[in-house]
Amino acid sequence: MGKELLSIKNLIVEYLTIRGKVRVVNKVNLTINKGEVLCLVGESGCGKSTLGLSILQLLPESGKIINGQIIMKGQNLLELPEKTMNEKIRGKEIAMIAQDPQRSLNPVFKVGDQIIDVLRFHEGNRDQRDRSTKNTLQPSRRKALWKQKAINMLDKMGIADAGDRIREYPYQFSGGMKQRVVATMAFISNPSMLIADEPTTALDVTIQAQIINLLKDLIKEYKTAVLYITHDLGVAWEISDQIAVMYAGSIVESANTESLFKKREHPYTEALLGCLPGNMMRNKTQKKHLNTIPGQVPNLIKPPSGCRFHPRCPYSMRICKEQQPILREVSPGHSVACFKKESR
Amino acid sequence: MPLLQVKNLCTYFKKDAGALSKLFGRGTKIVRAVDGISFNIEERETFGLVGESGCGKTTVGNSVLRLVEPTSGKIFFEGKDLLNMGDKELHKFRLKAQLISQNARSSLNPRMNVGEILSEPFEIHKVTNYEDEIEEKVCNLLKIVGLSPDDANKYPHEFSGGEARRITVARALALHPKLVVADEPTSGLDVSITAQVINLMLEMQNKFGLAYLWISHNLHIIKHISDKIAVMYLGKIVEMGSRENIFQNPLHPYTQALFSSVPDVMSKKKEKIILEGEVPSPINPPTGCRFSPRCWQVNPLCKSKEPKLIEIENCHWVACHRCKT
Repeated sequence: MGKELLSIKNLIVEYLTIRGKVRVVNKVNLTINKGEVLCLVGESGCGKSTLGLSILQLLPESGKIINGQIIMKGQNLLELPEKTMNEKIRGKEIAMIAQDPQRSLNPVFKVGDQIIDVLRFHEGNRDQRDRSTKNTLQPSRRKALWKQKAINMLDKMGIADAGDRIREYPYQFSGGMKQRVVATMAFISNPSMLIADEPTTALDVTIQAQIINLLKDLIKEYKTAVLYITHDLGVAWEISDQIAVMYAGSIVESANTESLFKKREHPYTEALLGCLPGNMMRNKTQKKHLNTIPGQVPNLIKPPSGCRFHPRCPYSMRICKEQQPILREVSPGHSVACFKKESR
Repeated sequence: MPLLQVKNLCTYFKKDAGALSKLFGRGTKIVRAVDGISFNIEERETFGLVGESGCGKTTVGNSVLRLVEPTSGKIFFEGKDLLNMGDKELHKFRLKAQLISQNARSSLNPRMNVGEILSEPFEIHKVTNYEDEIEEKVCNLLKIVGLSPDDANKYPHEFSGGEARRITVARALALHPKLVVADEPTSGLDVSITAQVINLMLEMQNKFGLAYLWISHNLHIIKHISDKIAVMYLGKIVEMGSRENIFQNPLHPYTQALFSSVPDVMSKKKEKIILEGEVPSPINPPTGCRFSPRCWQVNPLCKSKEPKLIEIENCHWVACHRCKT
């Protein structure tokens, strides 16, 4: 086991649509280490959110996990019964922060009650089991404790007057503040892993900087491992230790952050980074022609044969059309799925 | 003479109180979306307008096209007073100034095919009466923006986000305008598609000699495309100048914080200026400098007196009490 916290093995996820089966996650292998931030980057529709959801088995009804294992602390999450998933994993071992804080909070309940709900569900269950130990507190006393815990946690998240604000409703909070509330709910049961799906996309830059800073501090303090899903390469650069680049359902390159941005082994990574306009560090980028990736992200109902990137790849060879490349290590800790790298 | 001159533009919106508030005597509130801003845009120039959501940048774009009526101030287009134009003159003005709006899909009529959408400008402005001439022009437009003439028979839903964006660009360019207001033309697009759209728009600028008022919250894009830049905060311009001045020597504390908070690939992991709090409401803006409640270099003067936008050096204006000529 060592430092591994969660490893995904050979995961295949398909959606059933009217037009046929769509393989959104295609034989993905991924390992998340304890206390490390792994960024999953890719363009929209590449399957990064689906991968996140399938870890918690929260896929929509049309989505099916066809094959693979998700192993955490020695057990395969995919084999656990729904009840155990709910009681032990979701929100307890693995918490989640979604893209839109507006939609992760229930508009008709007070913010405090929603936070306490998390505690009631997890600690309440435990107390029931521990009834024999005679440590059970009075329900009212217990609630007061939870409330205090919620206030302390909100306070830590940088919400002023937390004691008053827990009596307010989500609409009384701004976007950035709502995301702080969602983060409170995620961290309150001290999870060993967090899945953050574009948590700052709906926010302004100055607020985004606040939230990223907050997350960084929390991750350090609680030693939480994070699967951070984003399309923003700048954010990925700032927050992550490891990066995996996803294209059309497969991971095409994974490495530690520094190495990935410097070496850019896969043609897709190279092209993606080439498209970025106006790097703040460099000065002479004005009005130059930006590099683009020809064509479009393929339709996954009929994905291209072989390597899914080959129709858009400048280095495409014959073998790329025929076979699908496998993720292989090219230098220590740096893996790429590309035939061009193998032939070298 | 500049192509577009904006002087002391104010656009306020009335926010009607609800039934209950009226009952308790609380009246209509006024949202000061744009509160006294001035700038010039020269021909063939790209003027980048940046700011966070709710700072009034879109309202500026709509006001200079008179899509919303400004409350006060002056706007001159090619020396003519835009706010005193009659219907006929305004109709002529719309030949020369066009809009690319934020959401490509919602700005394309889903019931019209692309051919119909693109021939509408020619019909409205009676450029020609011959149908085959219009058809030819539509074909040309589609080719220019990188689509095929066959696409004229398709409907907007058949296009991807990037292609839909190309159609809105084509429509804006149909009548060879002099000024295009581009309101977040790449929001909601993937990185690789964003690059395609930016390239296209810059190409069009070279080809047709356009001036852009390019509104965006994305500093990377603004840095890439602009000749001049204005940074807005809560209805005011806090800093304005040439691209070099703004990016190499940002002087306003808000501009500095904004630049520092942008995540950048391959940047050094340096200490950031993290602003506290959030943008206040434009219904009841703070007294003095509007940025003062969040400013990390605030002094007592900032709370009482509002700083004016003054020219600090050639082509560099700042509204901050700390900066003096």
